[in-house]
Amino acid sequence: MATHHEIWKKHAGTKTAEVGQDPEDLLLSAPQSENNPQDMLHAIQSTDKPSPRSVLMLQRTYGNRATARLLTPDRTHSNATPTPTLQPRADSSYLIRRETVAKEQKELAPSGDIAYGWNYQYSVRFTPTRCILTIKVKMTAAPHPDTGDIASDKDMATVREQSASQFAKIWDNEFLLVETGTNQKYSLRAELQFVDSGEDVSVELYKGPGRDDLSHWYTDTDDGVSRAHELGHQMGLLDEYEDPGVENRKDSTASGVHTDHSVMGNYEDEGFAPAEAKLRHGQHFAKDISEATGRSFSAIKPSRIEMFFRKLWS
Amino acid sequence: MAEFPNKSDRIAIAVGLEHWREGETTLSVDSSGQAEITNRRSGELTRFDGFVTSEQLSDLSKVVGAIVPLQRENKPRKPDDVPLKISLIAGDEVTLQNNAFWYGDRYSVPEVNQVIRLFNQMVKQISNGAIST
Repeated sequence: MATHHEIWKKHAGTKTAEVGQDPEDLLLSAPQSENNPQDMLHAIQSTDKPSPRSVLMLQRTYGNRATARLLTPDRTHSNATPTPTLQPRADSSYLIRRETVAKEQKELAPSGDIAYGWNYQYSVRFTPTRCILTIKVKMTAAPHPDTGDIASDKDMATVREQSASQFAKIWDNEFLLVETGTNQKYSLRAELQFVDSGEDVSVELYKGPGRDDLSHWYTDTDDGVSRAHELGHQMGLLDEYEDPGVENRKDSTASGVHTDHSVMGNYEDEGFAPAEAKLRHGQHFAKDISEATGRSFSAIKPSRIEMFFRKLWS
Repeated sequence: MAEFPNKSDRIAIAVGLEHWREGETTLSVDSSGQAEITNRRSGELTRFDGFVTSEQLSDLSKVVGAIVPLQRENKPRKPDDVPLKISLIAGDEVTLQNNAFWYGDRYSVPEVNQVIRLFNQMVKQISNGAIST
């Protein structure tokens, strides 16, 4: 059976090198309104040179074989609206349909009161090989509470770059989601987007040193690992360092305390460089994504080598 | 000598958690201006001694006086927020404690911000920058 690349190259009339873009990125680059398979089906049947995007979209929706039949050389031009005879595959979602994970998280004090509690939110979208998790951050500069200094545009750009880079280093491409029943595997890709509106989380940025938390960041706080930690909370993860104010972390023997170089633990004392995501974090994401999508996933954490090759070939 | 609230002769302010980031730092100042800083971080204890100016003493008395009567709505904290504990001590006796506020309240409660700002300034000065707050 022809691969999607072969169909694409043959009928779109371009070489992959000329397109110069990963097929997934090509499809995901357009707004959702431009990715309706029915509209693309109509458009594709009225032209000799269907666009690469439309070919890819149909292939994803209807399958390689059906798309190849649709694009065989003996089709004729027609001004009549073609009647689609193909049905989308039952499990083929619109590529850029986003599902939102929006939940509450809390930790109890030894007294039974809620010690810490917060809402968290992010979105996910699926391709045949990936689950792309996105956190939208709106970051604004505010006067430092000690000095009144305000971050410049350059400071903001540096923080955006650092944060996105460390977030990707810690969280991107660390886990596979495995769908129950089909055993289909999806690389869990994680990304930050800095936005002016429609944010999942708002952050105030201060110029100088200070204590970062989920809503307040300081320019002088390390090179972004702390922000990757804070954004872990935005994905629903709990802290993993000792805290006498929390029943589950009240001393070093408590079940919620981990000293295994977790990025959610006391990485400043254990070491910034080895701070990393752990399988238990991926399992948390799998549970939340299952609930949000109505599907059922578990998470595994393959070796870095396997994930590296999956990233290349998926 | 400064006059401290509640006829105390010593004010102690503690910020942080021992096993998180900078650890727990306690600033203790008596009415003569003699100050001590202790930092407890993952089992390790560091200590610094020094003096604060009479102006700083006066400011400290004012900001602590403003905050000790205040209470805070009992609601959950955001993750990674840390406690702020203020104690007024007379001799060996703690005469008043206010543990109602947390560091994160500095963004919404001016009295808390004033305490933390002065605390940060004094800790940096007395520890010569060795202790981060």
